[in-house]
Amino acid sequence: MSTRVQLVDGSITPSLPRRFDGCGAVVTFQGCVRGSEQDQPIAALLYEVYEPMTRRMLAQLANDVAARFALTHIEAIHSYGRVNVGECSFVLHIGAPRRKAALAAMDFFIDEMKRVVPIWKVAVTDSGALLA
Amino acid sequence: MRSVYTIKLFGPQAVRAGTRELRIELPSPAQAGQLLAALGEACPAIQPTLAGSRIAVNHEIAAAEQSILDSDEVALIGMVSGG
Repeated sequence: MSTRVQLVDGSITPSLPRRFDGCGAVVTFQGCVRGSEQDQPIAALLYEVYEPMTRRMLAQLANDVAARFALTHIEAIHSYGRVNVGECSFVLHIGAPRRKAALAAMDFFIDEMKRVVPIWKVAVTDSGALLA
Repeated sequence: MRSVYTIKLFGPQAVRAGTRELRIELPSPAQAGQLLAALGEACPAIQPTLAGSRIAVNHEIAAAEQSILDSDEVALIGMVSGG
């Protein structure tokens, strides 16, 4: 089992996962910045992290999910700083022997990350106003 | 004895509070739960957001009854929204 987490300054350039040997299923999720928040058009999201707590909890979550779903690989990449509308702020690659575990793990990881990992986002409008 | 505790704020809670740090004076040593309650009183703008928030002490989520030392780093962990 291999796990890897990265925090990246700014947007993420999506790419295919590294070769995940021993997997019958490899799934990738890309989270991208939508054009609106709270029903208002926005220009970007500003992401914040709290190091080293964010990295530690992201890594712990990856290890927990990998064990829970018997994954062979999990790699999570999350932005901090400004990410403009249309750009990618989160990538998750998962490798598992079979499809169902990979897809279930993907969903579980994202739900848990949104619930407990100290990562925040604040929307910025075209005029520079912050939406909170 | 009383101590002044500095609490780091992030994301929407920092925007609502208008600051990245709040300083709260409480009898020492304060417990994490007491500090959370005091934050709401000191900053009504974030009070509605505190029900789902936790206090982190030295980068670990603290139980409500955990005592906080003057030398501890304290942060409010709430309204997280990764992904």
